[in-house]
Amino acid sequence: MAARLITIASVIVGIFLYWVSAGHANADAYLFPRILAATMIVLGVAMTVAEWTPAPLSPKDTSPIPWLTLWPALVIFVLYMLAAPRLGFYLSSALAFVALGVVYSPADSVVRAATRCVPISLAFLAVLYVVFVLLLQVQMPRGLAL
Amino acid sequence: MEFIEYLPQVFTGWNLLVLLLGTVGGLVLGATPGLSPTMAVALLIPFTFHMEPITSLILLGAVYTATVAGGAVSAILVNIPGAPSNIATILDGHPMAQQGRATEALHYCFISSLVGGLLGVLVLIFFTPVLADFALSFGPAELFWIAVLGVTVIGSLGSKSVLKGLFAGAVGLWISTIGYDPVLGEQRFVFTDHLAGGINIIAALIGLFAIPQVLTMLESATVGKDVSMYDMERRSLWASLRFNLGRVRALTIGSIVGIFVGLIPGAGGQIAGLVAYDQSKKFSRHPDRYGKGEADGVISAESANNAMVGPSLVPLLTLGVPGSPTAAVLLGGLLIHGLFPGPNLFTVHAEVTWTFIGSLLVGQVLMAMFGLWISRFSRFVTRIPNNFMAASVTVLAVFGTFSVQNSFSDVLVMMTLGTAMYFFMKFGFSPAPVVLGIILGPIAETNYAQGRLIAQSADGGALAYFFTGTANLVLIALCLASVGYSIVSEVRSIRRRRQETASWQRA
Repeated sequence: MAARLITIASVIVGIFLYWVSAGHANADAYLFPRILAATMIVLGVAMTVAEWTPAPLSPKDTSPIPWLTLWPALVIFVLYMLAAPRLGFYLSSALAFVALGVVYSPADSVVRAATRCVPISLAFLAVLYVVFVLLLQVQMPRGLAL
Repeated sequence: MEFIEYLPQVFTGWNLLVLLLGTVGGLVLGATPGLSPTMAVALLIPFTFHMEPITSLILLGAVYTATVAGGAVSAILVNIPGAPSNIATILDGHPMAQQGRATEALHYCFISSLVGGLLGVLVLIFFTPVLADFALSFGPAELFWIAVLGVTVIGSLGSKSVLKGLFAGAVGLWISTIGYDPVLGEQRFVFTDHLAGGINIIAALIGLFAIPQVLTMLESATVGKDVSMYDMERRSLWASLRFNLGRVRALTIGSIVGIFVGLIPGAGGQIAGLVAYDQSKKFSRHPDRYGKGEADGVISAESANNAMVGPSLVPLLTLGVPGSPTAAVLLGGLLIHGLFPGPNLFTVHAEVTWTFIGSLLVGQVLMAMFGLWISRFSRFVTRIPNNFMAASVTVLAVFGTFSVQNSFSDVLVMMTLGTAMYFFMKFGFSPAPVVLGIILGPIAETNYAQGRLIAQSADGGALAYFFTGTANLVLIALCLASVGYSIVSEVRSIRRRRQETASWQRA
């Protein structure tokens, strides 16, 4: 069912992109995006037809999304992006590293996972500091802490 | 010959050091399951942004070469391919390790990679200038069709479903239109301030190749790794060298297949290895030994995937059409240094281009020399838990993306595109056509707009300008042929699936 829905979503995306590409004062600047959106609509319709025939014509190339496993990672990503400009890249990256390391650790004990993650994250960030700041001379955003 | 003229540049202090570091680092990265060559090169691009163009291309080329060969270490020792191009190596490499012949398998892997890799780079040296001279006569119409060909070929040949591949390519092309129109200067599709400057190619490359890989690693991170590793026996390198060079049939099949697959845009090392393995088995006097630790299986697969590296750069350097997904990332590396594929690379930027090609040749030798030594240590990286690997790649992707333009908007774009791509991949869409669309989009649009302007003053209008002329017709035919070939292959597999389903239902 998900495979069929994605084909319909593809058509809708194509129609949306055509809609945002149309009706502008400087039509010439939007001609290329309009052609692309029209192509997407045609391909989306073809995908839908292929998927909705009695025996699906498209190869089986879909797999289920493991939401239960992945939602913590997605939350960590969002928090990381919110924290990076406020806390600074180094502190927020260390927190994101430890969070991903602990939440997805194969070890049963959180304490044991954390005691491994913290020094590894600090060592990794020290290497990044040397490479980016000292060697490449790129200043990373500094927030409240680092 | 210009190649010989610029070869000594490879051996100047800094270039040689970077080549060594790239080779050693690439071997280790290649041996790490989950870190594909494409992702490794994408993550490295921000570091090269601050380097001289020659040095940066030498580093990227060395990593490309070494990761492909290094992937065989984990394929042989722990039955996990370090890169997709090493899938065929597992079939006989791992059984050899199980039989206590791990060192022997690794010897064959690196010796065969050297032979295939050298032949591949020689094809690059001799073919590229010829094709580049030919491309000199191309105008906007031909360049537009070449950009379309790049997306079409990688979309149709590089994806399981031709329709999904082409759709992904069209999405990539559309994403490239965000920001300023390259000809008229009009700002388009800027829904938020973060998109004001358009989509940065490097941010897109890193996001599309690294973040889905991170999420895939996290899927199985809590389970841990059950890595049962085989010890490496003592074996004379000379004995392996004599045996390996005597396997002319397997080496020839692997190298020829690798070279041809490399020249086909969008195909990549995975296809090269599998096709070479299959052909080597068909031509063997002992096909029954394949899959049970047959040395020819390792030799053909490894010579093929490294023979693919050089030729995959032929269409890239001359026409801007990459021969593999990793070559597509290398195209991004060229563009950020203001190096546009085509004849100019061999005239205006001859020093950069020929030194780069020379470094690929020297890199093959270094890869074989260090590969055998590094494999003793790099096999331990296969034990790094996925949670640490994923966390490291995430943080590195954020730092790398930011460092290109000192822009946090790029980081947000990278994370958003990457996370979205992971979900699209679950529905059968592949990141390579999207990346190529983003890279080739501005080239296609600029030449399309210029072509229309030229056509206004010519007879027949835009239709005649874009659809007449031998080169245009050949390029259009190639676009149609790549799509047609993929459709035929897809229809065949559908028929086979239907027959299998029908026979299963009858049973």
